[in-house]
Amino acid sequence: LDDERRRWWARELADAVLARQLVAGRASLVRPVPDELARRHLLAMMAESQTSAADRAPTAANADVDVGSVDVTPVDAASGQVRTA
Amino acid sequence: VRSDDGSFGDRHADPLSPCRSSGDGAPGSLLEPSFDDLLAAARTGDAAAWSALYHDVAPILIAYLRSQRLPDPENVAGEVLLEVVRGIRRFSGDRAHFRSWVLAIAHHRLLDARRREQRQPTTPVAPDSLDDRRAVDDPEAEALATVGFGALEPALRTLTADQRTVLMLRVIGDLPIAEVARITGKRAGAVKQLQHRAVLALRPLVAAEAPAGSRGVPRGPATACAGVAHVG
Repeated sequence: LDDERRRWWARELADAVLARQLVAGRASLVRPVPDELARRHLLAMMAESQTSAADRAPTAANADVDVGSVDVTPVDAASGQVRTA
Repeated sequence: VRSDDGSFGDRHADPLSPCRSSGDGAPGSLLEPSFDDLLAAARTGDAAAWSALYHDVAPILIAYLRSQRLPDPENVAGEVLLEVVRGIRRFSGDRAHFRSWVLAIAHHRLLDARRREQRQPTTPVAPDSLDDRRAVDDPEAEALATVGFGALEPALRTLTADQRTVLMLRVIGDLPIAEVARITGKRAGAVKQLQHRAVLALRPLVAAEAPAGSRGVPRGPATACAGVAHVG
């Protein structure tokens, strides 16, 4: 892939030397993440994922309520009579 | 490989252990799940799917943040990744879009960090007078922290922040002009101009190293760069 990148950038910039240095610089920076750091990041991500799922759960539960069965007729709290406009 | 419970990978393996792709855009094997499957599994909280997405994008994310000389790129990367987790349900797109989306979040975090730096300017202190606060039990991270952009690093320091951002998003993120424009909130023409000026600034600084006759562009048919998303 880096060969492809070098060729691509050499054409883009019309400069093979700069292209080579850009791709070499990229290769020196883009490296597999050290195990300990990856584990730390992933643990935090999984914790966040669970928190997000828990936050969504009440909303999802509410969305599942069958509102068609809920009586929404306005009733006067004191008299218990149905209110009319 | 998708297992019976809908998760990816070996269910007996630690899902948080490295099961990395190259992190460099290499195409996966036919046995690997599609990106859509990974995305769907990650949305359900599947640890193995998150691990696969992480190892695909994290090397580029950290490299981009490091290329911008942030003092603590790993921690900022961690914040970006938490935003990715929180926003994964809103995301739609393929692997290239996913990388671009993550880099867009990173770019905005970077701007936040720079604003904070400007509000709270730090007083330069001689390195010798500081205690070594880096974790001494993590030699890999320590070695990584010293990595720069190779021989080009001194020349890159001469660029403006915008020029550097455009060039790094293009080179490290393999992003086309249009994506860089979207991420940075600039017009495509402005991004091209910034890249052009960056190249003009870099060229004389690397010229001295070039052996005679080595600057030529290789001849041959213009082939597509596999796994590289340049289209701009």
